[in-house]
Amino acid sequence: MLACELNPWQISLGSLVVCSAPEIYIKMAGIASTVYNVICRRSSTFALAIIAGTFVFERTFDTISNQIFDSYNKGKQWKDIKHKYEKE
Amino acid sequence: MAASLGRVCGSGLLKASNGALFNQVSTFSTARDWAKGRKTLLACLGVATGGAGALVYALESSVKAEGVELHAPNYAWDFYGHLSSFDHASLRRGWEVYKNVCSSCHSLKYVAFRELIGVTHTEAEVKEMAAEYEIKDGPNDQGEYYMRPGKPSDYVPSPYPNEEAARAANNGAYPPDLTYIVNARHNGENYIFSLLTGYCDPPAGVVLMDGQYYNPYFPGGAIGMAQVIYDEVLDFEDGTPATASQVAKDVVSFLTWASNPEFDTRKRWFIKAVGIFTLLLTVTYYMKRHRWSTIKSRKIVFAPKK
Repeated sequence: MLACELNPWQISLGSLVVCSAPEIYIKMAGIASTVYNVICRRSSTFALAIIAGTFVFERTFDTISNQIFDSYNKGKQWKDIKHKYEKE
Repeated sequence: MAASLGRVCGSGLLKASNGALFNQVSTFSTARDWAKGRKTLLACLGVATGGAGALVYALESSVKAEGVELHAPNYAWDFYGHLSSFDHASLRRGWEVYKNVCSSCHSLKYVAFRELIGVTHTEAEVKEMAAEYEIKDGPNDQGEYYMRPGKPSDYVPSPYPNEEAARAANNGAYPPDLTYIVNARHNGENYIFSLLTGYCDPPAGVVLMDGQYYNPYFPGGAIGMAQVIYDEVLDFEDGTPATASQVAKDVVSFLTWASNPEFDTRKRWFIKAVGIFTLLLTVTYYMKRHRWSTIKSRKIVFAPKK
């Protein structure tokens, strides 16, 4: 309780455990309390948010990593030279 | 610096009487009750063992000139580096070199044609290429073995049916399979490049048998393989000038791929692993600071009763 009062911005990790009492989360700032009320209060929405977040994160992370690799190895990979050998 | 030292050592560094701790520890030692002679003996034994080990190590590492073969220098391969992929145009030329030069003696029996698809050749090219080979298949419904044109799922045919045939055709020397040769030799790609380009006349005093050639990079110097990589030993399909070093570089790149077909994927995953572990480390560090914040920021006050 006390920790949550001191650090009202801590929503991502501690909110579910610590800030369960209603009088505490009312004090939270705008975005954090919206996120908490919309997503974290019900297990169904919370689970859904985790699954959707995982999907979005992984797609973004993979795209960025692959772009780093592809730009570093520009012109060396098979996909850069295969147009020379493909006959249509 | 002082701040981080202070963080590592806590306030221990600032204490004046830190040496007292050491004395306290030594009173708990099991060696405290030993007789003086026993302590001396053990100390001497320890020094002697350590000294002998150091002597053996010094002797081992000081004598380096026992071998007669040259050690290959490290070349600046374009696939060296944490993020670098293979140069696939080079791999494609390397396959040409293997097919036109190496394959008359060396097998590549653990590589299937289909593995070249998307690496050096298109699917149509691989189908066409495989069909040029005659593959033994069977038995058919008559119980007989027969020859058929190759398919992408076939493995690259070997020049000899077995090791004995290979030895018989090569003066008793066995041309090794090249699939994993880069991983199977110390300093693989550099050694093979140096070997291919390092043929020279034998120095005075080195006697070679019939069918042996001199190569300073080969252990012992006498190698059963003649020099095969020369300038213009073949014409590259993409018009790259076929100098000896270019040919050797391309075939070694190709053989490095054959030994490590997962190479490019591994490099790709390196980026992802570094990224994800950086993220996890940050989160872990934050959590640690968070969990410890109550302990780090508390103050214990001694308030005596009045």
